Amino acid sequence: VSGRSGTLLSLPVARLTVDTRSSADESAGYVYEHLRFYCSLIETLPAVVVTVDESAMVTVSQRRVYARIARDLGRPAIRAVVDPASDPAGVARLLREPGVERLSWAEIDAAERKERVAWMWQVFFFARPLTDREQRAFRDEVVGVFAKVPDLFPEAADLGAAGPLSAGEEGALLYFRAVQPTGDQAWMRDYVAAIRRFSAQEVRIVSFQGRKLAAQDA
Amino acid sequence: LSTRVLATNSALNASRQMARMLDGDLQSQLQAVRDAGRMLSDPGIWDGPAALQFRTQQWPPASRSVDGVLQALRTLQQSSQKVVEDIVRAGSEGKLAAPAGPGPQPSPGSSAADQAAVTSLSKDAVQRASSLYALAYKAQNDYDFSAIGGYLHDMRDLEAAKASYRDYSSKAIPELQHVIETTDDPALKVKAQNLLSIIEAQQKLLSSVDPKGLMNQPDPNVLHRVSAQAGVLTALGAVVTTSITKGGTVTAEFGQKGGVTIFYRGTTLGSAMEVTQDQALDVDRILANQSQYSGIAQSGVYITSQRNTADYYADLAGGGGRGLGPGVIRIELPPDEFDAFVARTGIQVEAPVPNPPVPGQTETVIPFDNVEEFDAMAMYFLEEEE
Repeated sequence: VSGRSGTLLSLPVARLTVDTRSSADESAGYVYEHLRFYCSLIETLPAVVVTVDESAMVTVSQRRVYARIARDLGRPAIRAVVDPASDPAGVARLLREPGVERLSWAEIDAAERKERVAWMWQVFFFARPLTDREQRAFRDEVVGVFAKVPDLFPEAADLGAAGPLSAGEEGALLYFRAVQPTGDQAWMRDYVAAIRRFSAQEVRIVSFQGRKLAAQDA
Repeated sequence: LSTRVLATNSALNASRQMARMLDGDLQSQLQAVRDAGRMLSDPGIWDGPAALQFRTQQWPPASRSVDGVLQALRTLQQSSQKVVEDIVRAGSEGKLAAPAGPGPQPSPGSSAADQAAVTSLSKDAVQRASSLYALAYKAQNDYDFSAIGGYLHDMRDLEAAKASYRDYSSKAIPELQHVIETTDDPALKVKAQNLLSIIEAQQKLLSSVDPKGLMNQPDPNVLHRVSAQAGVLTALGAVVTTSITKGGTVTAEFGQKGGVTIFYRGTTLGSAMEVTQDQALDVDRILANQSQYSGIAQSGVYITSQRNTADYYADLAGGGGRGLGPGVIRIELPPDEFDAFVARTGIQVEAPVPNPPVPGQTETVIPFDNVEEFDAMAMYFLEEEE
């Protein structure tokens, strides 16, 4: 992989070839099933990086896990960054295929940057099901952090409060949707601190947003 | 014409104080004022009648004044270093007593010219570094820092300093390697790894100082490079001291892969794509993002030597698939150039993240004013996701 990146496309997932010989994306940083569940809630999956050869064969060269998740979830399309090491004629051929669309990163970026806050899913997998008391504590200590958001970002009040807490995996999975600052590190620090405190003092959190909590430790 | 030469301790102290102030906060605070003024002059950030008055009437003359003061300070900084050198040189010729230190004594074989040259090049910076090592020494009694302290306190005799340091490192390195290989205590292991890195860096620096070359080379750039190396000692000392006093929580030194210094930046894949394509950091985007939130401690481009810290911030930035998802940029730098850049700009390398969301995180902030120079020496790559 050259490391340099280029064209952004929306591609049919069926067009992707995943090189299974490489284990580069077999990361210790996430729990696959947890990440897949988190991604199932997201409208647009994170992009993959692909290399296109002269016959327009599209091979996923980075972020293979999202290609695998897209297939598992039955998503029709996925965003893909084309590695500039790709064959230009192959890329040109690919662009003529139905279902292949060139996207503008500048437009996507500009639209997203207008939002200081946005609805975002929060997904927690625990080491064991939570008791009623622990769920209440989670609601107070972790979900409660979102109550401060409208004080910091008045526009958040117009979007609404945190959604209801949903459960799965017999209580070992809790998830909810909330209006979250999209880039405020200070707010996020408080949120992560609350998550870590709950994990240390109440019930161990195995993963947050599909990422192992321990993997985020330095 | 007067040819009187007088160099008192008061003059030396005053000149060093001036050099320290000019090296330190004064310029960065003025640069911060300039950054803030520029930001407030952007109608996309602040607009209205008061903003209009500010950006059209108040800020333009103030901006010119700030730029003028900054330029004057830079000039003064250059001459203040020369003042310190002149005073120390005068002192080394007998008017001032050399500072006491446990270090090696001048060897009979070294010439007075050699001593004066080495002393005058970097003594001030080295003395600053020595205080950091003194702290390190207090916190880490298991290891004998006297040789380092001696070297730093009194390097008038380079050959003696080199011999002393060789002797020290020949004992300390195997000891540290043994600790690294055998200890079950992760904190101690980190301390030992950090100290080993420092000793190896010191060895490299010492071996690169050639007094004969210096004496035969009046090119001021050579002097500047050596001075920069002394500045690097300060930076390295800060890393070690922080690591030790914080209980060894700073886990990463500069990653060295094939002779390059590695840093990472956690961002979105889209931003990472842009940076790797342009081979330049996206200052406008970062500036715009930072202006939206009040919790930014220091404006600039945040990078880290810790891959997991970069991953953490990438996950934040690319959460929910925003920006095409998380992305990490790998930044490769030529070590010598980067060391000189750090020494010249006074950028603090790998300081602990204030109130870190995850313990042990470290960061390096490249001020926006220095990004162009940073870009010129950096290579940016899209990092594989872990």
